[in-house]
Formats: sequence, structure tokens, C-alpha cells
Amino acid sequence: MNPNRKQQQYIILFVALLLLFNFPLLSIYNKASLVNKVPLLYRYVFLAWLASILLLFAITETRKEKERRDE
Amino acid sequence: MNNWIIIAAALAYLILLFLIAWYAEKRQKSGRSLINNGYVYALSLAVYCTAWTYYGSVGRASTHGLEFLTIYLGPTIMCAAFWPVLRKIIRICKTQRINSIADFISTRYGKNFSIASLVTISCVVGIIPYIAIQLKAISASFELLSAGNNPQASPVNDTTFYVTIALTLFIIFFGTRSVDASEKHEGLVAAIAAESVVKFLAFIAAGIFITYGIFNGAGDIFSRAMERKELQHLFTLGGEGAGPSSWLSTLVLSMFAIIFLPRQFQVGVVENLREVHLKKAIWLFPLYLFAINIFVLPIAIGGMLLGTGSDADMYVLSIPLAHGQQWLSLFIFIGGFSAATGMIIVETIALSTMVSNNLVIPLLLSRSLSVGSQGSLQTTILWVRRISILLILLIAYAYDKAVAEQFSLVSIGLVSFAAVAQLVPALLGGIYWKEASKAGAIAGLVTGFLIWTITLVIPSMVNAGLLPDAIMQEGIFGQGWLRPYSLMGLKGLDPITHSLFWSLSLNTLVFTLTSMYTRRSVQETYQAEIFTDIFEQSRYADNKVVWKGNASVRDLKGLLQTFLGEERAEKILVNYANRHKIDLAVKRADPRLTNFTEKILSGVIGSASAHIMVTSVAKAEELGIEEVVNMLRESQQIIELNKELRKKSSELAKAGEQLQAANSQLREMDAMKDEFLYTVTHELRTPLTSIRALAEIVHDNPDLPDEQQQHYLGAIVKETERLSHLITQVLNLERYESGRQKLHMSSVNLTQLIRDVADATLPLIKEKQVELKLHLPDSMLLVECDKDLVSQVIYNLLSNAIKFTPEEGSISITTRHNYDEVQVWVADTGKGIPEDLHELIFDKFFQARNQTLTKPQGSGLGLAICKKIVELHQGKIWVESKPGLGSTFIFTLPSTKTFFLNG
Repeated sequence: MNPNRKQQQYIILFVALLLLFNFPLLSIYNKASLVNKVPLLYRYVFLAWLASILLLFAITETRKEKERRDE
Repeated sequence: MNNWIIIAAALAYLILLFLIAWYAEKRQKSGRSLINNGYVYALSLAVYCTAWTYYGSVGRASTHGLEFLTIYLGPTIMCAAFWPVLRKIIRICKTQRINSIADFISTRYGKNFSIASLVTISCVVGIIPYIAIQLKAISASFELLSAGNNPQASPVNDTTFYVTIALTLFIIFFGTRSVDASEKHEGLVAAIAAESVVKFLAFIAAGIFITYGIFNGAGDIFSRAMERKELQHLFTLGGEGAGPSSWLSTLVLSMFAIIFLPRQFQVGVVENLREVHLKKAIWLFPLYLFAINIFVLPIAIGGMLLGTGSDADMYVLSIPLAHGQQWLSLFIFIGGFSAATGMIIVETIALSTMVSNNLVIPLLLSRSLSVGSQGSLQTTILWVRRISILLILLIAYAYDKAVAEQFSLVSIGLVSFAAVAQLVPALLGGIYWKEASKAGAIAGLVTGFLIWTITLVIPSMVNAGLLPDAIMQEGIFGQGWLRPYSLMGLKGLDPITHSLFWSLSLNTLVFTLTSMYTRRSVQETYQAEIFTDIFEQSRYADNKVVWKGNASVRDLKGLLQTFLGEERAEKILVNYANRHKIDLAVKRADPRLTNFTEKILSGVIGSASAHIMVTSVAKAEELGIEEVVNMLRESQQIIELNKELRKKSSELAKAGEQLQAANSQLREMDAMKDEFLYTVTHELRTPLTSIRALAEIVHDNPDLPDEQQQHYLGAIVKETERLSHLITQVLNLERYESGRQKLHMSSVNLTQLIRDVADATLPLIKEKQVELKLHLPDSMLLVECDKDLVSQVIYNLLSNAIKFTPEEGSISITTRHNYDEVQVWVADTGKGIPEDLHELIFDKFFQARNQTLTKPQGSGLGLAICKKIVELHQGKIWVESKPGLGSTFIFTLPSTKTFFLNG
């Protein structure tokens, strides 16, 4: 596998996260209302945050399998 | 709560840390490192979460809502850049033995003192307030906790002071063990990781108690706040300090902070043991940030709902305390204490290394540059570092008393972040842009720090009453365009955003423009090549030589002894010499040795000092810029060429192997062809000879009786038939083997086909007087195959069977079928075939070659042809036989399309 592939995945994720955690996207959820007793914005930010951690995990750890096979 | 209990708890906690650090160092010495894994590395990065996180986030959330999260979202985003960016920085620091962020910048820009001291001073000025607020948090929490039982003011001031002193001792003990600052402080890292666990658990405990013990969960808190108009704004972003621009600016600040704050640089880069540990940290560290922040908003809003009246910064502690949870409060206090101490410890070590290496040691060295004369400098260096630690902490303590009281935790922290952000253009430019020059870096840094001072430091001094209020309204020196909060008349931004915008943009602009229009020195050019191409360069960095000078081995040894002590210097030198097969006995040092000495010294006294020290003994001639660049290029080219060469030669070797294989195959085939020709001609000659003999008899004896003549002529015809049969078979075989034979596939009823073939051989059977039994199903057995060829196979097998079966014997043909194939069994009661011939009989002319065994019957090509035809159908053919018990020839045809039709 191309070793640059992982670099590219990280950089794409980096840009995506910059957009995800910024205005104007945040303004979509920037309302003082509760969904299931949880503020809309709070829910969005924490869910997006968790998703980004999962993606970081996926990029980092899936590559490992391949490396191990390569070795 | 009684003061002494609190003090005892804090002391016990420090002793625990001490034990952890001590145990980790013990393990390090015995070679079983406690911290050599990604988990500890990720936890040590969590030193990012200070008292600011622990207390300040809640305070910030109680006024600005979710805005506090930017400080943790920024690092999360940066984690995606850890592998591309941070790994590069780590690699550079490891190969260059860099031990602080100031050292990093100075090494990149030509190992230069002025830039190193500039960065050091800026960092110290920028960070000391940040340390001060940690002390403030400790004293505030102590005050709160002790006031519970002791309404009378307690000797808090003194307590903070004692904490400061205790921390100083702790840091000196574990941070300045070895003179080599680039050596890992494993005990320290273990203690920091432990602190990260403690503060996490304590904060979560507070969160759970407030959210679920006092309220009915976060939902309850949120819905109650929704009913209060004055709290609703906490659910959204907006207004002063929480609009899009300030959101973005704090996000950017925290992104830089996570790598470039001196303490983050210390744990993330200098203390990093292995690059692969990054992999765990990339997802584990943001997970830590995520988890520790879940309860912040519920706690903040809960505190507002309860209306405790105390400072929102202290809600975490004051709410449980107000609900009578003494022991929980003590635990929470310890958590906050660990968050603050962790930060203080690492930050102080990082700063003290910078101060001693970049400010004090250069001064010491400039006084007495003659090496060897001043004996060992080791203890001096260690004491310089110890005193800087003490001074830094004392200044922070003084700042805490004088200024920090008036500000919230977050606002001071952000000012520090903004200071560190000024390093970013020079840093990132340094590792990605070769043209970046020392002059550019200095100009950019000065610009950035100047604007930072005007826009953030001066206002805080005005607030503290150190400067007149008028400056804020009328501008510095009465210049209207120099108003700290609206530089050049730019209004509408909060102070941090305003400062960041001006300082970072002008810093970058000045840095890039100056870099483009200034010349770089040789040393700079060389370092620029190494930094930007570190992954290429680090592979052969050790063998690269940029020293042309004439250092003597004795001088180099003297240098190392001065800074490391005799014993260690000797050990290091001998090790290196052995590894690289360098002779230490010669007078003039190998250039690699000079290089190595400089690198080792860099770890101890910083690259700038090390360079000067080594230059002073090496009496180096200044290399021309072209020379250096060529050296770098050349070695790179050589590597490229080597790679190319290796590739080519492995290709050649492969091609050679293939050729050899092809050659031996050709030889084999040639031998086979010879043999084939020999046997064919031999086979052809036998009938030809008899034809000739018979024809001669008829020719020479014209008066033979008609009857006899007829007999001879009949024999001639028979022999010619045999001859042409043989030739047809040879031609057929050749056609099958060359692949020119095309199969004319059709659906064939195999039972019918076998019956037809059996009918055709009836005359032979009758003649030989054998019995033929057909065990065939009543139904149709459809197979996709070439009808003519398959019938030839059956015919050949059947006629062979007839040929070799003695009179009165019997022959049977059976079919079997399963999912993927049909088998045809042709069994006879002949004399059988020995086992070792089972494979050979399918060879061409096998019979002919073994004529000694039996008299030839047939051409010897029949079975070879059968084999070819069956193989063309992707089937198999073999024989099962035992001498004396008859033999059975079996062939199979694949039958994906086989099916039965009940007839």
C-alpha cells in the first residue's frame, strides 16, 4: 500500500474537522432548544467530536494490520 | 475542613507522585521502562489539561456557554495532523538532539544565539502568568476548602508559598538529575501520566455528584435552565467573546498550543520515546479531552441554578462542599491540585532548560572560552538549571500575588496561548520552507511579540494599575492608531481575536518577506536542508560530514569531559568509535567524531552553544555555501542512484533466472523432439520393411500361384493401412499438443456414445471371443464435450482392452457420476500392468521403447492421444491395475452441465 495514503487520509480529515467544528456549519445547530432534554448545539458538538475520534482511530489502527502483514 | 488535613493530603499526594517517579526511574535503570508505551505517552500529553480545564472551563461555560470547548476541539483537530507534522518534528529533534522549543528554532536558523534567547525570553514572559494562575487555583481552592470549617482567614499566602517551595524541590529532584537535557526523564513522565489519571477521576467524580447527586441528571439541569430566560443564552454561541470570529481564533490558538506550548513540546517531543507511540495518542488523547469535558456544561449551569454565589471558577469544588461532602471535596481538591502541579512541573522544567541553555550558559561560556581550563562544568550547569527553576517559580508566585488575582483563569491562559502562537510561522516555515531565513524568523518574531505586548500585555498592566487608564482610550504615547484594543482603528473584535489577527498576520508577512530578500549563511542552508527533508536525511545523517576543520581527538574528548564528566565522556566516545570503526588513537579527529561531539553537546547546552564550543576547538574553515549544498545533494543523489541500481540488478537477476529456466526447458524439449523423431522413424520403418519385403517377393517371383500372390498383396495393403494410421495418429497428437485442435463442444449423451463405440468394435470382440458387459444407466447422461474426440478415447481404451484380454476373458464399461464429473471405467481381465508403469504408459511410444517386454501391439500413441484429449476437456485419466488381475482405465469429464433425463 502506498505509504502516502495514510498521510492523505489524515490531511483530508484535518480539513474536514476544521469545517465541522466551525461557523457557518455550527450556526445550523445554534438554537436555544432542547432535544430529549439535551441542548441542540451540545448534542451536535459532542456527537461530531466522538465521530472524529472514531475516524482518527480507524485511520490510525486499521493501517496497523496492513503494516503487520507487510512485515 | 481543618487546614492540617488538607495540607497533609496535599503532601501525601506529592509523596505518592515522588514514589511513582522514583519507581519509574528504577525500572528505567533496570531496562524495563514503565513508560515505553503509547498509553502513558497519551496520558502525559494530557498535561495540557491544567487548573484552567479543571476549574476555569466551568467558569468560562457559566458566562460563554459552549465556547470553552474550542480549547479542546482545536487539539482534536490537530491530532489529525500529528502523524504528518508532529512526527516530523519528533524525528528532527531526535536526530539533532534538540531539547526545547527555543533550541529547535535556533538550530533550524543556523544554531544562533540571538534567536534562541529571543524565543526564550518571549516564552518566559508569556508563560509565567500561566504558571501563576495554577498557583492561584491552588490557593483559591485551598481557601475555599479550609473556609468551610474555619471562617477566620487562614495563612493561605504562606500555604501557596510552601506549595511553591515543595514543587521546586520535587522538580529539581526529578528534572535536573542528568546534565543531558535531551535525556528522557522517565520518572517525571510517569508522575505526569499518574496526575492525568487523578485529575480525570476527581473531575468525573465531581461531575457525577453534581449532575446525578444534586440534580436528576444532565437532562434535568438543561430543562430547568431552559425555563430561566437569563440562562438560555448558554445553549447557543454568540455575543461578546463567543461569536464566529472568536470561536475561530481560540480554535486556532489551541491548535498551536497543543504542540508548541513549552510543556507540550517537552512531553510530546522531547520526552517521546518512540515515534509509534504517536499512534495511540492520536485517538486516545482526544478521547481523554472528550470525556473530561462532558460534565463541564452541566456543572456550570447547575451552579448557576443553585446560585451558590461563589466564583463560577470554583463551582466544581464549592457545590459538593456546600452539600456537606467533605471527603469528596477533599478528593476534588486533590484532583485540581494534580492538574495544577502537573502543568507547573513540566512547564518549569521546559522553561528552565531554555533559560539555562540559551541565556545563562552562553554568558558563562563567553567569559571563559578556553576549554579544559575550567575543569568540569557539569555541576555548574546543573546548578544554573536548579536556580532557574527556583526563580521561575518565585516570579510566578510574585505575579500571582500582584496581578493574577484580578483575572479569571481562562483569560490569562489565552494570553499565554497567543504568545506561543507567535512562534508558529518560524517553526512551521522552518520545517516546510527551505528559503526561511534567520533574519526573517527574527523579524517575524519581534513583530509578533511587539504586537502581542501592545494588544494583550499593556491592557492587563493597565487593569492591574501599573499603567494609566488613558492609554486604552488615547493610544500609546497618545497615538490614536495605537489603541491596544483597536489597533489601526480595527474594532468589533474581542481582545484575543484582535491581537491574534494583527500579530499573526503581520508576523507571517514580515517573516516571509524578510526571508525572501535576505541571504542565508552556510550553516542555515545546511540546517534548512536537514529540517525540511528530515525523513530523507535522517537515514544517513550520522555519516554526513560538514566539518572541514582540524579538531584533535584530545580536544574533543576534553570538551565532552568538561560537560559530561570524565567517565561518561570516555564511555560515549569509545562506544561511538567502536560502532563506526573510528580510530581514537590518531591525533586528528575523524570529521564524524567532531559532528558527534557537537550533537552530544547540543543535548547538554543547546545547539548554539555546542556549535560555538566545537568550532572553537575544530578551528573550522568556513565552508562555502555551494560546497555544503553540493554535499547534501550529492549524498541524496547517491542514495537515489543506489536505490535505482539495486532495483536494476534485482531485475537483471530475475531476468537471468527466467532465461535459465527457459533454456533448460528448451534443452529438454529438444531432447524430447530427438527421441520422438527417433521412435517415429523407427515405427515407420517396421511396416515399411515388411511392405518392401512382401513387394520384393511378389516382384521377384512372377510365377507365384495367384492364391499366394493375393495373400502377400493383402498383407501389403494391411501394412500400408497401419502405416497411414500411424501417420494420422502422429499428426493428431501433434495437433493436440500444439493447441491447434479446437474442441467442437456439444451436448452429448454419453450412454448412447458408449453403445455406438461398442457396436463398432463388435467384429473385433467376436474375433477375439471375449465378452463385453455394459453397465450403463437407463437414463440419458448428457455431457458437454467434443463428440468425435471423446468417442476416439473410448474406442482406443476399448480396443486396447480387447487387445490385451485373453480369449474367454471379459471387458466391462461402467459410468459413474457425481456433482462435478462423470467417470467412465473400462475394465479388462488382462494380465495387468505393474504399478511403476502406471504413469509411464501414457507417454508417447512407451510401448515402442519397451519392446523387450512384449511384442508391440499398436502404435504406442493411443494412450498418449487419449490423455491429450481428456486433458483438453479438463478431465483426468489414469489406470488402476495389479499384475494378473486385469486393469481398469478410468477417465473423467467435468460435468457442470451434466444432468439426467429419465428415458
